[in-house]
Amino acid sequence: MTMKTDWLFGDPKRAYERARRNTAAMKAEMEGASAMDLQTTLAALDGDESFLLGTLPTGAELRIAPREVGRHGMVWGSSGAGKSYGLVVITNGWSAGGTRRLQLIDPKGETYLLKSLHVAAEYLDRPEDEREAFAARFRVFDVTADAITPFNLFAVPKGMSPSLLGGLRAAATRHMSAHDYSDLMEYGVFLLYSAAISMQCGITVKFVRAFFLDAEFRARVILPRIPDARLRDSIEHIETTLPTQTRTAIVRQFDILLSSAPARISFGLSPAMVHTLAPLDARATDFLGNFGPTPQRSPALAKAMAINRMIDVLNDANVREAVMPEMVLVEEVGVIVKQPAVADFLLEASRTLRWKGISIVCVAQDPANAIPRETCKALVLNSKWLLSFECGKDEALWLFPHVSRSAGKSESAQAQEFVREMAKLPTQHAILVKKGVPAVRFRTRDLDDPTKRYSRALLTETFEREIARRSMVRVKDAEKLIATWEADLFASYGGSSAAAPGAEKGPQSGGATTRGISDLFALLDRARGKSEPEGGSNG
Amino acid sequence: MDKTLRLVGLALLCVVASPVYLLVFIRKGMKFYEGAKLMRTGYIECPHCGETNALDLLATCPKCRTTEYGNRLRCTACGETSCGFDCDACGVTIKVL
Repeated sequence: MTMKTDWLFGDPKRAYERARRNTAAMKAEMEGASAMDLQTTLAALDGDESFLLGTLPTGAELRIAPREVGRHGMVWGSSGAGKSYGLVVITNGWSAGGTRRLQLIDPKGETYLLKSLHVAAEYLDRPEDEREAFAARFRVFDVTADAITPFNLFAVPKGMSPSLLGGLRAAATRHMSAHDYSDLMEYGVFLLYSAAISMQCGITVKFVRAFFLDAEFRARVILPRIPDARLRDSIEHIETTLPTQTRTAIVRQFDILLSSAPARISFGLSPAMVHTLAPLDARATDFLGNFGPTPQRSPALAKAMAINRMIDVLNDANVREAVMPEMVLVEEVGVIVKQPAVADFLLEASRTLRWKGISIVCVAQDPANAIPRETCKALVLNSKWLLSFECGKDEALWLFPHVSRSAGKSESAQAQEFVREMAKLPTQHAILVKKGVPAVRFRTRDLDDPTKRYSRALLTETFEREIARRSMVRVKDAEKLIATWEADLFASYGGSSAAAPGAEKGPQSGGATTRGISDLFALLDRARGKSEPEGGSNG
Repeated sequence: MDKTLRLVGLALLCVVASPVYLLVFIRKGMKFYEGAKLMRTGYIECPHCGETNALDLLATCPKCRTTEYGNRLRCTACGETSCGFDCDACGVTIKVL
C-alpha cells in the first residue's frame, strides 16, 4: 500500500523540497500583493484636506480625506478599546475646515466629554479676538443644575407631515417609560403630540390631564385651534377610541415623566418660546449632544432626548434644499434603534439622504447583539466604511471578507485566526475597511492631552461658561415662561383645570364617576330622587 | 459431477468476464498513471478560474491536523489520502484523483 501511494504521490523528500519552495514563493507573492493592496488602500483613503488618522504597523502614516469619512460608516469595539479617542480624531479632522457640519448624538456622554475638553483647550489656545467666532461654531445640547438646552419638540420642519413627526415623538416617548406601553397608549400619546404640533404649543401635566380627561377643555380649547379636520375628528372622538383606563394611564405616565425640570422644559416649551429663549446661531456648524447620565435627568429621559435629537437632525436634512456635508455621529446606536419606528426612520434616512450630503456614522460596543438583527445587517450593508476596534466573533467575521489572505492556510483557519486576533487587539489598534479595497490595520494617533496644558476644572468651566451656555437657557426662565403660558391657557378656558382622573363626562364613564362608596350612595340617592317624582307623577 | 460442472461454469464465467476486467484494469491503470504524472508535474490548473495550484505545499491534514511540507493530498503522519482540494484562488473543489 505504502509502495503504491509512494509511486502515486512520488518521492516524499522531493515533495518536501518542492513544498518548501512553493510556500516560500507564495509567501513572497502574497507579501508583494499585500504591499500593493496597502498602497491601493492608502491611495483610496487619501485625498483633499486629508488628516492624520493613525500609523500603520510599518510606522507609515495613515491619512484619510473628509470625502471618505463623509459617507455612511460604522464603528464598533468593546469598552476601553479606544473608540472615543478614534471618534474624536475623526470628528476633529472632519470639522477642521469649518465648512462641514457635525452632529454628535451621544447617549453615553463619553465622546462628548472628551470632545468638550479638546474644544475648551482649543478655545483657550486662541487669541482673545478669535474666541467669539470659535465659540459660535458650537451648539451644545446638555443639561446642568440650572440650565438646559431647549428642545423644539413640536416644531414641524417645513414640508414635513405633522402626523409623521407626532408618530416619531410618540415612539421616542415609549423609551422614557419603565412600563410597557400598549398600542392604545401609544395612540393616545400620538394624538396628544399631534395636537401640540398642530397648536404649536408645548405640553404640561395639567395640559395632558385636561386633554385626556376633560371633554369640555378639548371642545373649547383644543378643537378650535386644530386646523386639520381628520385630527380634530380623532380628538373629538377620543372617548370612543380610548377607554378611560388607558387615558388615565397616560396621564399617570406623564405625571411621572414630566416630574423632572429638564423633562418639563423640554416638553413644555412651544416652538415660539424656544425661538425667543435660544435662537439658533447661523454660524453653528458643530452640534454636540450630551445625552449621557446626569443627576438632573433620568437615563430614560436622556435616551428619549437622544432619539428626539436624531429625529430632528434627520428631519432637518430631509426637508432642506441645500446640499451640505454633514456627519451625524450616533453613539450607542443600539439604544437609539430599539423602537422599530425609529430604526426604520434611521434606515430610511441612510438610504435616501446621501444626496443631501448626510453621512450617518453609527457607533456601538457590540452591534451584533445590541442592534436588532435586520437593522444591524442593513446598517452594515449601507456603510461605505467600517472601523473596528477590539471586538467579538460576529463583528470580526463581517470584516474578514475585506482582509488580505496569507499564504498556505485554509480559509477557515485564517478566519479563526482573524477572530482571535480581533478579540485581543490592543487599545487604539483598529482595522479600517473602505469597501472595495483591502482592509488596513493601524493604530489611531495619540491625541494631545488638554489636561496637561490646562487644569480639568478650568477646561470644564470654560466649556460650560463660554461655549455650552450660548445654547442653553436658565431653568428658572424657561419654567416661568411655561407657567405663564399655562396660566393664560387655563384662564381663557375658565373650566376645571385640575380635572381629576375619571372626572369627565363621556360615554365611557357614563356620566359623573364614583370615587368611593360614599360617592356611590350619593349617586344612587340622586338617581332615586330623580326617578321618584317621575314615578309619583306616573302613579 | 456437480463439482466439475461448477468449475467449468466458473472458468467460462472468467473467460466471458475477462475482457470487462481487462477494460476496468486498463482504465484504472491509466487514471493511476495520469495521477502519478500530475503529482510529478506538481501543479494543477483550476477548471473554474484557471489559477495554477501547487500540489506540494505547507498543508494541514484534515483528519489528524498535522501540518507539514509535502503533497497536500497525502498526510505522512496518519496515511490519510484525499482525492481533491479547494482551489487557492476561487475555493472550487478540484478533483485530482
